[in-house]
Amino acid sequence: MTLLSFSQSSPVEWQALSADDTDVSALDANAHVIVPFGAVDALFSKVKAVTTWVGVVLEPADDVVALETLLGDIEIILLTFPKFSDGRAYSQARILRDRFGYRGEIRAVGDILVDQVGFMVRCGFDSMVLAPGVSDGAVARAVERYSLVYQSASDERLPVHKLRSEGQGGGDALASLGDGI
Amino acid sequence: MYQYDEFDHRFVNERVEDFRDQVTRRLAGELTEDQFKPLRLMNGLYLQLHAYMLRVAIPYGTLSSAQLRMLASIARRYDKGYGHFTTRQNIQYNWIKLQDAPDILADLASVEMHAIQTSGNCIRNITTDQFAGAAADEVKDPRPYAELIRQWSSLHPEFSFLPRKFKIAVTAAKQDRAAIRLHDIGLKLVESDAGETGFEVFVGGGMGRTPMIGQRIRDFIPERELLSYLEAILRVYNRFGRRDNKYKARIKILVHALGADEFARQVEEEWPHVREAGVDAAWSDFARIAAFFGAPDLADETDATGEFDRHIAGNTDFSRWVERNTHAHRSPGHVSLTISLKPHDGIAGDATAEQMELVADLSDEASLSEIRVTHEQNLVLPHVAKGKLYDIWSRLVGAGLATGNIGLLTDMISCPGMDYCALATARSIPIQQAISQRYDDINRLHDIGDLKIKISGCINACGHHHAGHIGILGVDRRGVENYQLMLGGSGAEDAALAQVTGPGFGADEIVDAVETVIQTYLGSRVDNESFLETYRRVGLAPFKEALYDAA
Repeated sequence: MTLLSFSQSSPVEWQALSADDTDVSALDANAHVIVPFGAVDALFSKVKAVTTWVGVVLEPADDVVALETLLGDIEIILLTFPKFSDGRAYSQARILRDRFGYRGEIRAVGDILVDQVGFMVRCGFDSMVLAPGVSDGAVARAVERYSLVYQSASDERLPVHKLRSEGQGGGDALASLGDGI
Repeated sequence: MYQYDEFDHRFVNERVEDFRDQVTRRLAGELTEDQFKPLRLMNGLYLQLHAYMLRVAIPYGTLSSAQLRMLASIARRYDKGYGHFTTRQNIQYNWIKLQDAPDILADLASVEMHAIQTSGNCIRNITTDQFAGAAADEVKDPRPYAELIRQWSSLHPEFSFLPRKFKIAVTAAKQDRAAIRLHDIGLKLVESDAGETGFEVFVGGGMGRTPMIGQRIRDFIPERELLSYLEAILRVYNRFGRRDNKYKARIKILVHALGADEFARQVEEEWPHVREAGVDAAWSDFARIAAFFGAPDLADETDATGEFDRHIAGNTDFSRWVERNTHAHRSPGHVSLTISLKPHDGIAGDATAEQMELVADLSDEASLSEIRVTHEQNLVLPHVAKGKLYDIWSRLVGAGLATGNIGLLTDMISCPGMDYCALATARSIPIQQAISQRYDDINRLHDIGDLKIKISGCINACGHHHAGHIGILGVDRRGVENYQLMLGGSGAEDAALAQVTGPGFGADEIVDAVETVIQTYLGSRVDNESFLETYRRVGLAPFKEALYDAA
């Protein structure tokens, strides 16, 4: 497994709880704990009383909107791609960033193609867990492939229409972009 | 028409290099076919029955003469000398070698074209009225909005892995020539009482296995908020559209399951959040786009039609061709001319490299170097002075392009069917050709009048059979091709789904069945009723009776 990180990056090691883990008294005060979305109501406040570092893992069908009031207390949100072709997590990430202003880490887990990493970064993901064996070159190509974007998203990149309308002549704006992103 | 600036050029060039790298890795064995498949599909490259097929985007069906010449050159250099214009206003090449694909994309990029989002579960090519910017019945040219949507949807990071493909059509005319109510989103440009431009929004139309007519979810969305509203629709669909069954994954299924009112409510709830995120910003760029689509500067040619009138009076072939193949233009003395790609022995939508080059030449001489592709698989010269029609017609005759059958029975839509397509369950092209040969008498065609026959070779309905006045669906029944017949569909402003007549017909029976339907219509029509008008008056019963009871 390869952790690819673009901004903030939490540790890879943590304790993943399940809905059955109702007794949290054994948790260490410095433990890193991940709670599944389905157990948030039952466990989140209990775990938070023991350790400050708590994350939540969501499946694509989980309603990210339900986390709104807890977001300030969540260190990391793991969004799951059961198959690379299941794109629901892109919308989950954008709702977290754009609608709720979530500032913690968002990490992609599951079946991820390296060619999707650029889309993920644009939707507000900080990091992603890739299958082993992906070369650094492939990652770099996937991320740096497109120097321009046509629409605003959850990242800081200025879309082409803004570059144009801010009076930057095509040449100047392109020059300022340099060779990379 | 729209011209790329440095940004647009850079973007498509990066796309070409991206794909060149992916093809190189595939050919070197670094990528398996399974790994390569999602990548090639993002560039419109399909693996068909016999070869790779490349589908090239023709945004909203508008081409320059230079672009059409490049399409001809690609057909000659990398294919077998022809291309196939599709119902999505695109072009497909059916005999492509994988190693050539990057060079083809580079050739396309040199004339501001690409194959981005012509396949995959993403927002596909935006389609519109083939007479946009020319039609007399139009409120305003819809193409600047189509270009705005094209740019917004290009490699959209949130919507590149939707539950299923997503098709948006825009129209701005009274007559709906873009079939907007058979699209995932249909946009009708309207002006408010205050003179503000906006769109009526239809959602959830489509064909395929479960045909549905799109439902209106908003009467008016101001033009400046169009993109955020679309983004809200797409987000609701991306989150809640079904992913467990690809045949139930289109937005129409979600809209149907929720009900249009509830779907609209969810969109309205999402919309303010999207709007605040600034999707609609930089409207000034829209003015830049719209400037490329300014009304053409055409002289008043009303008085220059004397020779034209003499030819009309003296040449029946010519006058009939003009009657069927021209459409009212807003500039006096001009028409939009449709060039039929449905010759009586040909394959619907196919054009040879030489034919494409002739059309490109004619557009330079007589149509401001502009060409359109129609969703009915024909080509259009949008801005032609009537005085030039006779010369154009004479030259088209020599190239086999002067069939005067637009809107008539032989102007059929047909999918490629089992002759090319890996999904097809029956052949479509031979059925289309057999019908075409049966009805090769132009007098009879004119007598039958307006009639749209649409043929698909499987239930995915690429041949739009649900929207045919007469629809034909080829299926496989225990290893034998069988053709279902359906009647009364329409993709126009009076959108309706065709009704199945009854048991299907064999490949050797279906043309006779069509003839029975025609005979029944001719026997039932009153005054100058069209087929569809007669059908709507008398219903399915007399046709059923004629088809099944006589036997």
